[in-house]
Amino acid sequence: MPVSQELIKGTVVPVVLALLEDRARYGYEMVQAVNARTNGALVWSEGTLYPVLHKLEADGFVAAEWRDATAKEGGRPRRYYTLTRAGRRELKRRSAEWRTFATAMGEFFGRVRANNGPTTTPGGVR
Amino acid sequence: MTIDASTAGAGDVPTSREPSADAFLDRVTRALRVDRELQLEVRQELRSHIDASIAELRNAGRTETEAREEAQRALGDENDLADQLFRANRRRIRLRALAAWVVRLVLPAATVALILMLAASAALSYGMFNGTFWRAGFYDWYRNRAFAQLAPDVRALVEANEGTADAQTAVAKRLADQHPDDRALYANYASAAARREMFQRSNGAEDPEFPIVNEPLLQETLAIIAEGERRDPDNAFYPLQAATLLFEASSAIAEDPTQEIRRPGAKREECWWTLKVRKPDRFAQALALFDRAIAKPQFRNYDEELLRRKIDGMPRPRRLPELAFQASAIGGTRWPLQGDQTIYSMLIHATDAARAGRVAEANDIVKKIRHLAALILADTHRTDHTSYVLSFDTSADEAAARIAMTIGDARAAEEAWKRFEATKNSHRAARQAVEARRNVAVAGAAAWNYYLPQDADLTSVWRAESAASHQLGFAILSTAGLALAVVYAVAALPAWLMSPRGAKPPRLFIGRRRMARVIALGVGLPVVLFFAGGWLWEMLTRQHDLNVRIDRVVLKYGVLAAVILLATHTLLRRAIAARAAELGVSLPPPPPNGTRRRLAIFALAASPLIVIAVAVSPAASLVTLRDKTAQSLIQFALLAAFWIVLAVVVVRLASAARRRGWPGAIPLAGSLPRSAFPVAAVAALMLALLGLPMRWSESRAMDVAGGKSLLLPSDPARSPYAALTEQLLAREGVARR
Repeated sequence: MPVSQELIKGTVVPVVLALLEDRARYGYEMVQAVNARTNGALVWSEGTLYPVLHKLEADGFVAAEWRDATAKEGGRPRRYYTLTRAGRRELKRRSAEWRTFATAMGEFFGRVRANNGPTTTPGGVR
Repeated sequence: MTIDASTAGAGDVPTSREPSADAFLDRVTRALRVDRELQLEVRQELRSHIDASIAELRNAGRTETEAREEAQRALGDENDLADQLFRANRRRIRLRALAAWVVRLVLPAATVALILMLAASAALSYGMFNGTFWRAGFYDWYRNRAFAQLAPDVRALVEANEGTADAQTAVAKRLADQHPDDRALYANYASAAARREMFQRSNGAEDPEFPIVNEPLLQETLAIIAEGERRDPDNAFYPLQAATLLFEASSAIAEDPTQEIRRPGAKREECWWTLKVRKPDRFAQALALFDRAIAKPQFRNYDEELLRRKIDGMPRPRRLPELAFQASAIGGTRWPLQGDQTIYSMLIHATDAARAGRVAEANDIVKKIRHLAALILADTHRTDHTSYVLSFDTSADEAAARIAMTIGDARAAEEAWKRFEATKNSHRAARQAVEARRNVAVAGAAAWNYYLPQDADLTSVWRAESAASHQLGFAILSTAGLALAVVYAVAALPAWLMSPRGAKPPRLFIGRRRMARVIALGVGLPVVLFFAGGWLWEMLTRQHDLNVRIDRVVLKYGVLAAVILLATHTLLRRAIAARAAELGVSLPPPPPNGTRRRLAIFALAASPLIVIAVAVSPAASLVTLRDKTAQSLIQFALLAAFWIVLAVVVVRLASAARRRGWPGAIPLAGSLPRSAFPVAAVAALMLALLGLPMRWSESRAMDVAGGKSLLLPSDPARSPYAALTEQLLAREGVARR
């Protein structure tokens, strides 16, 4: 099921940071990687990515450099982004934050499901 | 802006270079146009994204038009994207604008300030080499600044050595009056008073050999000296001073051809003199004063004590000019006794007496002179003074030999001449030993180390001079870097002004990494190689880079500056070309070989400018050689090389712009100098900063030298004259004070 753009918006920064954790990537590659890894669940508006990358660069979380792509890739120079040391710290913080959020949301929805499950319980959800 | 397809698109790969794609990119980056480079960068990044997207969609079977439309659509709403891009980059735009202004305003100003500081520092130090330091205006400015730091008494004591003899006497009197029990200050006063002009020699006078005496001044001076003897009754200094004045006021020393002889071992005839006594009464007074001086137990001119007081009262010199100034201010090596008139008048009087048959009187005078020389020697500490006083004894030997010859005592004369020869040779050997040390210093400190004690160890001074030379060198290098920045700025300005609005040449920031590379390779590497080469040269030749010559410094650093300029410009061109390729901006290619002829013509046309530069450049005046032709050639070659390099840079830029079509290529031609300016400014600043530690080195060398200790007389026991001195003192039974 596709996720709403409103919810996706909050995931862009941690996802971008996570994508850059292992190696440098350029914008288009990141879009493709997200699509591939989430089986199309997270459909980014591609234009959203660049302002986020530029903001992260201005904040010092990522660094960018132009590299020539291989002839197979078209040979054009591409702007590659890498994670800075501050970016790695930010990624750690965002990951922890996301896990807390996901756990809380999971627990929350679990409880809601539990509360809504047996109809014999009087009172329902409070 | 011109887009070069060769750098941005390739072969059969679908591209977004159609007008509609350009229009799309223009629209989404329009808010960024205040920062042209950022706008170009974002455009290029989005273009790269769209191209990749089109390629993928084309592979999936879309037509090119469909693929392009879908790729652009995937980027979302144009207005939202433009707004988000601006918001994301807003802070960066502000910071980049601020940095650009800092580079434009602060860097050149800071560099100029540092260059001025280094150049002023080096000029002060080097002013001592070529004499400018001692020119009235410069010296007076420095003197007033230095004097302001001195305590009033010390200042007065130092001032008592400056100006006319009358001015010196007035200051010395004030000091002596303020401290009536101070014998040293009174001796200083008497000395200054005796130096006043009281004898005038005039060709129109009745007796040309005899001076016209200013009687009131003479009487006043004799009274001052008499008061000194009253205050310091055991001191031979005062009667000797008075005797000197009276000998001069009563007699004249005249060369006597009849006494010309060739002594044994001499290559030619040597002259001697006779005394022409004009005022016998006054002459008799002088003789009596001489006898009174001989009877005193000691001689003290307080020279060393006064010297120590001045040195103690001065701040520790931290720079070469301070040391030079202090050395000159404390009085140099002036002979404070002014007693040679007495000594030589008496020796000539002795030979005259012998010729008149008064042999006993003659021998007695010679004996007294020997004793007097020992008395003075016991009070003498400076090497040059010691040499001078020892010459009294040598002259006494000569007088003794002449007396023996006069009375026909051949054996006594032979012995006296032998002794004269031996003493003279020993004296000469000692003098040569001292001069050998000083001769080494001629190249560097010659212009001013005259004021330092004759046998001072100058190694630390040379180290300080070496550090000062490097300050000058880095000022030259930094000036060259700044000149390069100015050339870029001047070249960029017309291109920027003449290009149409909205198509101004973008300033391309080559990035920190590229900038570090350009500065490391263009500036750091030549400087490191320069110093490593100097160090290796020292190791191989054992010639330490001390005792420096200013012409060599200017030449070495001039060549280094040319290397740095060429290397920096070449590396910068490459870095900017690489950056331009990243952004899809085409810069003009380097001019082909055919333009070299044009460059040569331009260089020839620029030669009048070079001549003007040689004529007006203050740097040229720093080159000083004995051979004036060589000096002119070196000056011309240095400056010509410098200006030619700059001219070539300008010409290459201009010719590249012309080749691209004027004025269409202006925006592109202007990009290179606009982008190169900040790097050249940073390079200039770094070169100036590199010169700063040399200031510290100069101060440190002064610290190691002990600063003030360089001004003090060295240990007499280690002087080349020590043996001669001890011999004379032992013979006359006088103990060193």
